[in-house]
Amino acid sequence: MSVRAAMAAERRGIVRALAIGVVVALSTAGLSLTSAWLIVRAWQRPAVLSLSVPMGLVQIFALAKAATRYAERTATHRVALSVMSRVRADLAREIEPLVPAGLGPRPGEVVELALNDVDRVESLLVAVAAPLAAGTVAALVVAVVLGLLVPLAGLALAVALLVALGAGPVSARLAARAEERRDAALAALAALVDDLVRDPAAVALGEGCASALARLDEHEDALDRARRTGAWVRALTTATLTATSGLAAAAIVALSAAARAGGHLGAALVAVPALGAIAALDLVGGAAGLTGWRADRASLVRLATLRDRPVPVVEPERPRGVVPGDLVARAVGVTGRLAPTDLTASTGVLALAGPSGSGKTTLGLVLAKFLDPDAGRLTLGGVDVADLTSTSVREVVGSVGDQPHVFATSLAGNLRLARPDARDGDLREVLERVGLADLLARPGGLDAPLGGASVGLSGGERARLGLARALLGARAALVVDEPTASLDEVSAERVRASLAAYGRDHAVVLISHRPEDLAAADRVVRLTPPPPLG
Amino acid sequence: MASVTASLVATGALVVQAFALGAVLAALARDPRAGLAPLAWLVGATAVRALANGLGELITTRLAAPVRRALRRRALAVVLDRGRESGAEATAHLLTRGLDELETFLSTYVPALALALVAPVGVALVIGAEDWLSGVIVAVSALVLPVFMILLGLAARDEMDRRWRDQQRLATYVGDVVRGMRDLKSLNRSRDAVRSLDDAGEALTRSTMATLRVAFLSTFALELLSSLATALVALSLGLRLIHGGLSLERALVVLLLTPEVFAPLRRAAARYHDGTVGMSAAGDVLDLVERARPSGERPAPGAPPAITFASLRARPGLAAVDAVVAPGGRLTVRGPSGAGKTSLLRVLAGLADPHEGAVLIDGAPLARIDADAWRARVGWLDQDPTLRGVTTRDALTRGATASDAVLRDLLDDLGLDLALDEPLAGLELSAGERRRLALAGALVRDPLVLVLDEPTAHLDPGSAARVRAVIARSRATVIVAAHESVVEGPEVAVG
Repeated sequence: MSVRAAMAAERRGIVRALAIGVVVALSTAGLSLTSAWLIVRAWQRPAVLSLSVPMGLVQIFALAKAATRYAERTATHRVALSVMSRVRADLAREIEPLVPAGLGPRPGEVVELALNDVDRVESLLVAVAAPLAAGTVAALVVAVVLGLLVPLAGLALAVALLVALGAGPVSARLAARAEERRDAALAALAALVDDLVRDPAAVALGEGCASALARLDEHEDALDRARRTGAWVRALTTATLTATSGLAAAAIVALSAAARAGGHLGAALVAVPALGAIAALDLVGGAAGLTGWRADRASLVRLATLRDRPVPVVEPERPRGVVPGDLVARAVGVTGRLAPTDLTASTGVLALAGPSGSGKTTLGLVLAKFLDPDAGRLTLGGVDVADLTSTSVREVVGSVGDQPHVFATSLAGNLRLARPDARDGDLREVLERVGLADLLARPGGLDAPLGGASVGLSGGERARLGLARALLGARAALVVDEPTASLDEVSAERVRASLAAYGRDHAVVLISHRPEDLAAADRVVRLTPPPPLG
Repeated sequence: MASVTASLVATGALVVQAFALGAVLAALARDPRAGLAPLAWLVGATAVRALANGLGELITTRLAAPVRRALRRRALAVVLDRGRESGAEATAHLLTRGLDELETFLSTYVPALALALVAPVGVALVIGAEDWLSGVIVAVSALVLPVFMILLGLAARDEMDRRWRDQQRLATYVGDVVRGMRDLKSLNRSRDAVRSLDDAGEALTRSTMATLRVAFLSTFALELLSSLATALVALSLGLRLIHGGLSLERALVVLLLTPEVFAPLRRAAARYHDGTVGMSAAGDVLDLVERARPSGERPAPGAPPAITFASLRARPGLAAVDAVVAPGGRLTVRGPSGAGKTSLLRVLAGLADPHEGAVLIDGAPLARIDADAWRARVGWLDQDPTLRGVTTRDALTRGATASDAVLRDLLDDLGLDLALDEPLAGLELSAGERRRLALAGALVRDPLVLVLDEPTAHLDPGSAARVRAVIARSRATVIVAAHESVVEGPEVAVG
């Protein structure tokens, strides 16, 4: 997803937020300019009436500034949040076709990446881009006004503005390496934390807490070092901006003095150029925040590269209609993972057996069109699966992986993913069928929340919940990967019985090591490992 | 403190700048050919201010890092020792982004707030000394302002708390969708789920905007009071100048300084939202750190120990278990799925405290033994093992050192034909291979206690026989939870 596209989609909101921002900035500068004029003019002791113009302007600018600031803040945040949610949704949309065979082994990192990068876009828009754009426009208006009073003062302000605006990109260049190191340190730290908290027990019993914490310390050291370098650049930038403002004021006072001596500047306006310059430079002071822009760009690039990963399934250009029927594989193979295999899955339970590494899971992925085979031909109801969309194949072929995911919602919510209109009775019945009726006895019953990382469910319970979901989905064919692996014999027998019952009018492909499963199946296909690559 | 001092020096220099500017501009108004001597003061004060601002920036960066480090370290130690209470996503999010927010809070919000409490008073006093009426105007609005903002801030606090929770929920939600994508695709629900992220994002935008609309009311109050005060000061100065009751120098100094009373308040207010989010994260981190338990002091055993389950109830609702295993002995724990076999093993491995009763190691309660040292002597096989690291070697050694010969022998004994330096990611290991590899990892350090949860699940008969033979050879005291017979010796039933 390019953030640019998301911003283009929100163009109207962005323009609106910017327009309000310019009004805020102009009011701020206007208040400063007009009060300087008012005071010096009053000191000249004219008739009170002649002060009504500067007095009126002071009041108008003061009120406008307060009123528009609120509108500017809300408009800017609103548009930034909208851009963010677009980017986040697009990210998931791009990951979707890659799962499960085309995405790397660490979806957790993808999630962290999405959140961090997307939040970065928000802070870039709200904290840097919006105030800087509005401030620059208003500051240029002030420079033009000063130029009309004292041409050289306007020029001096323009030069100072250039320095202030240039400080951001220059310091960004200086800080670029430190930022890169900081980002690398942050990413490494996030990856480490992600890895450590995924299975804390494995860490505590494997390398031990002390070693894991020592690794954390190393990452924190790297992070602190990078941050300190970045702080030097920021300090330099801040000092430059402060100095620019003070020196510009001094120079403009000197130029005003020359104009005054030459009779080109009246006494009443003598304070206006200096105060206007200070106000204008305050408006673009936010440029210091630009030090992060390179890293922000790296985030944008990373977000955009996701779509370059190869897709594991190619969808047909002219898809044919799906016809429920037998799944027939003829010499179907995947290089290095599955030797050419024949099978016919029709009504009944077909068991896939074979030693570990013989490609049972890979064949399961191919059957449900999660992965295109490199060789052979797979047909569904007589139609080549290559001519069917993966969605239409999965309308007919359901599948359960060897570690089904438990979603962070209720028990009922987890099941209704398969059939949203299922009644509570259906859910209870399907839980009963796979031997999970015990879950209903827990507090909350069907509405009991299940944790994000399937807290509270054992491996066997997770496997059966996945199976229950698939049975509820009622596909004509069902591919099940090792549902009985971590079950006791009583529960395994229950699962076998429910698969056998389902197999009476559906096709079931059961991947299993368990001798009892193979004995109970109607047919068994034994796979042999493919020859090693290269 | 150091960073506030730097900011106060910068504020002092700012006051000098104002006096210099006031003097030179007033002189120019009076006499077109007036001298520019005060500009030297202006330039000098500018240099001091630039230096102080730069230093302040350096200091704040170093201020919060130690706190962030200490908190992250302690929180992670608790998670490793006691397991996590919420999902992996949410925990990782808290330990990374949550702590970053906290650091931002400490390094920017806290010093900004400290300055906002001190600097305005000083500047207002200078203004009052120059012109008492302007001093009163500024002082009154500066006093009213914090009261206003605190009231509005309090009103928004619950909302801000909720916003942080919303963000965390959304982090979990995106993770949930990505992790469960395979299941969603199987059910042809992945497109719906992805589409639901649009709604979730929209919901987040709406709830955040509702919060911000309230929170920005304090921005509104700040802008209103500060611009009205500036305008009032300017108007009152103008009216008094017209009657000749005030010198132009003083009027200009007051006018230049008036916005500076509000600038520190505005800077603190701009950080306020960072502040509440950071505070909220701090609360969560502290809750996590509070779960720390004291570690035992006794050294872990140096030889395979005798293990006793004394009326042990690993979880509430389970039957008490009594059993004794001699040093180097074997015990099988049997029972149906969900009867508490795994909970019992987790207590034994030092991953959880028992609900009732105790585990005695050579007669001493496990709770009194140094937890990390105990776990270093335990070889653990989870029922759903995680392989950690990049290569097969990493997964086997888990940070320990072991010779290639030892590692190869272990792999051979378990019937695994794997190259040691092959990346795990490319291996496409079956569940059974993963289990055997994890078992090999548990055996690498020659543990004194082996705690095995279903070591022969997912295995074909040949591999299962190999696993049984390897376990039989170990000198450790072995406790196995299994449905089939894995080790010789006594059995204890749970559930």
